[in-house]
Amino acid sequence: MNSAATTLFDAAELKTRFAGKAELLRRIIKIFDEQTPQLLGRLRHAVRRGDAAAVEWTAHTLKGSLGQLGAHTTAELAAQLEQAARTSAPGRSEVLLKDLEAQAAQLQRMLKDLANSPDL
Amino acid sequence: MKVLIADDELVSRTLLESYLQYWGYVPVSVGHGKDALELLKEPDAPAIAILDWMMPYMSGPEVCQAVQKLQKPIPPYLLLVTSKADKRDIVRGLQAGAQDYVTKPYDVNELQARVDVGRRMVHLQQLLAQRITELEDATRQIRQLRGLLPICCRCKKVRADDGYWSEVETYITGHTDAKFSHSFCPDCYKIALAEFSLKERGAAA
Repeated sequence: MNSAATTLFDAAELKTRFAGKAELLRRIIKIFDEQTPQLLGRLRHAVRRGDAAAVEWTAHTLKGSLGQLGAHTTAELAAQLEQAARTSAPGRSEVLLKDLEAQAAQLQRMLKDLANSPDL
Repeated sequence: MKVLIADDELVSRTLLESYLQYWGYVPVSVGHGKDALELLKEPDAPAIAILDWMMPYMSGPEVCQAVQKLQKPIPPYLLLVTSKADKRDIVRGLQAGAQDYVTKPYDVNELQARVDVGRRMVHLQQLLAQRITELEDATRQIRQLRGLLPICCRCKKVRADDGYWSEVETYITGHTDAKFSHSFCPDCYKIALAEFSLKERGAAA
């Protein structure tokens, strides 16, 4: 695991938080895995259309799920995107979305690995 | 106890459902504010509702305002979910009619404590409503006994609200929790004894 990846989410913290509730954590990861590409798709579409309200709304929703999984760095990116939509900064939205997509994809892989790991 | 969850984001919603089940509550979930309000209008509505701030169709604070207008005898305990501890949001939420708030991401212990406070509040309100009903019943009975009651000056029967004449004890038994045990007062005891002696003598003659 490289240093950038380790800052994306704290696996140890997640394991402690879900101690004795491994099945719930697996369920949550599965839902996150299904929901995130849909939200990112909607976000991409809204950024392209310049629909600030939809960007704000979808980024907010994504921020919620990221926060629950302890992915605070990526949640902060989503918060910045939400803020950029609110302050009508489309150029910034495009850049933030790219970062968000890259981080979310990495997160999804990491969370999947965690869900499949026998020591969870 | 049923707890309504209104959130369009599935990770948060599933987490909340699971926690509530662990703590012995019965979660009922909806994906937006309008459905939340419809559920809260029903007679057997959940006593506690956890409402996300940002939801499609109707936001959490809008649901709180609409619930206040319903003027239910026992209003639901409303908890608003904010994504951050923004003081302005909290004030706005409480002004809209929420009783309390929780922040996302959930701090499980805090969440449980706040939902439990809600359960205690609902329980207290139910007890209070029950006592009020009992008091209203008692007041109604007292009021029934305070009116003008026509009584026959000879046989002492009273005319009840339905127009029928009945014994005083029948009337009072029907209108209060009082019960009668029959006996003789000292004056009537003397009369009854005299009547009994007369009868005995008549029988012997």
